[in-house]
Amino acid sequence: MKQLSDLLWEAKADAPPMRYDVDDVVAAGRRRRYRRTATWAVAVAVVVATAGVALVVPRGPAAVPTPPVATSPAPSAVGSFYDYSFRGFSAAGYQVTPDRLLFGVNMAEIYTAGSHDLAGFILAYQPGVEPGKGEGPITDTEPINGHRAYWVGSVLHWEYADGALAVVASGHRGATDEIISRADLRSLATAFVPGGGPSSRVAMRVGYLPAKYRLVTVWEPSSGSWVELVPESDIGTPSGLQTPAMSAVNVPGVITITVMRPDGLPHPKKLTCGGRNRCEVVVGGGYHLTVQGPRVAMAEIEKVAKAVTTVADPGNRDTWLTPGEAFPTSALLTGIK
Amino acid sequence: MSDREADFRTFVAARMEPLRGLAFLTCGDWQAAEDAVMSALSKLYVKWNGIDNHDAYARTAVVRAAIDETRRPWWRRERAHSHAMPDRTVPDGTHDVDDRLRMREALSHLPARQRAVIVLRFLEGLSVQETAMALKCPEGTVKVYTSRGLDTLRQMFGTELEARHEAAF
Repeated sequence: MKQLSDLLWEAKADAPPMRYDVDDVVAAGRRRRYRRTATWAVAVAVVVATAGVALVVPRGPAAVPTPPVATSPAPSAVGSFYDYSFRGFSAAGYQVTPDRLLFGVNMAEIYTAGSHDLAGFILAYQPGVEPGKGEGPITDTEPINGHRAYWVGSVLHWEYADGALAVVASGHRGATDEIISRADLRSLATAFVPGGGPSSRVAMRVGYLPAKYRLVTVWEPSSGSWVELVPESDIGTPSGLQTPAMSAVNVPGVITITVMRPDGLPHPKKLTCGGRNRCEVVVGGGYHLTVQGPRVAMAEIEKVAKAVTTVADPGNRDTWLTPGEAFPTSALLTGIK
Repeated sequence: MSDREADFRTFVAARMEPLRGLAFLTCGDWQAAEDAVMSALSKLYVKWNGIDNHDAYARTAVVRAAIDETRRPWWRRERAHSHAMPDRTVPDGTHDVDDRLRMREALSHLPARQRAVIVLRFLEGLSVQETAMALKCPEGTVKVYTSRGLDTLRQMFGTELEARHEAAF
């Protein structure tokens, strides 16, 4: 009589050659870790979907950014592209800190005061940029600071300056339980004051970039420093955007440079470049630098990585640099605000 | 390369092939099995430091991923054209190959979770309790699936099948 276990062993014999090897598995693991590191992307996707902003790439025919046409400039239309368009503030028991600067929109995370519990987001669009259509019924509500306001589902939209819209949205506990009440969302919108925001900052200095690359994303999460650069030809104009991107990671030629805090996972002590056109190395304070451009020539990614130096202690944000200090002048967007 | 990454690589080199076999017997398709293994091991890479029993984690993740593969919408449409288990055996005169094809055919008659129970219990040697934990289901379900699965296999193999753990349920 035959043993079932023997027959099962026999049934998995004569396997075809494996399509993957150990290197493929490690590369897949790194990609997965990379996505996990970018937990903001998931959180943003939830809120952004609620806010009705599609995650699409801002691509336009214009080769060089030009100033948006705004009949009535908002306060945010003053200053560098790399200055946040509003200051951080506290209201209704929440702390709002602008921490992401993107093409067409500035963004702030909302935390429960005195905690690290993320509760929601505020997105402040540049003048002329429209939030996405959103989900849910549109309901007018009392003006906020004298400007029109309306709900789209559970997301509050309001005009924070002439021609400039913002949205505030709560995160969720579970599938539907909103963390921030409607009354508190309204209080947050009322407390929002445009203009006077600080410069964004980065934890690295970049000495080389491929020709015509521009810095379009600066993000300062609690876990580190994150920037994205894209070819100039992939950049349109903020005023032409109906659905600004929350990240440029889907732009084919994007180069992403990150300096992230220790995550308990293995990172090479010497600069190592490999699969998926990615270079990484451990830097000061146990942080790790990653330079990645999946569709950029490996030689170029390696050249960029070799020309990146991080601040001595990325954990000390007082030592971080402004984009003007950290990037070649040619990489900076001008004439946007 | 760090020690941890070296450890992970050593683990993958040693376990990838057996895990692929486990996934294949669960889902019946070599390519889907490889995808399941890739998915499971990439998750293990991320969680490597926080997991005590890497082998148990990988085995569970692979089986679940293999079951998920059988639920994909394209599964029924594409399966007939892939390297899936054949619908009919074609004895070639050698007993091993004959047994191999017959077992594959027999397994193909079991629902995915029943297959997973049979494979975990009689190939991997897991207990009812361990199998229930791996599949996140009650022990009673494991016992029922084991009984039904063995009945089906016996119908295919006649009386020439012996399952060592049968007394356990």
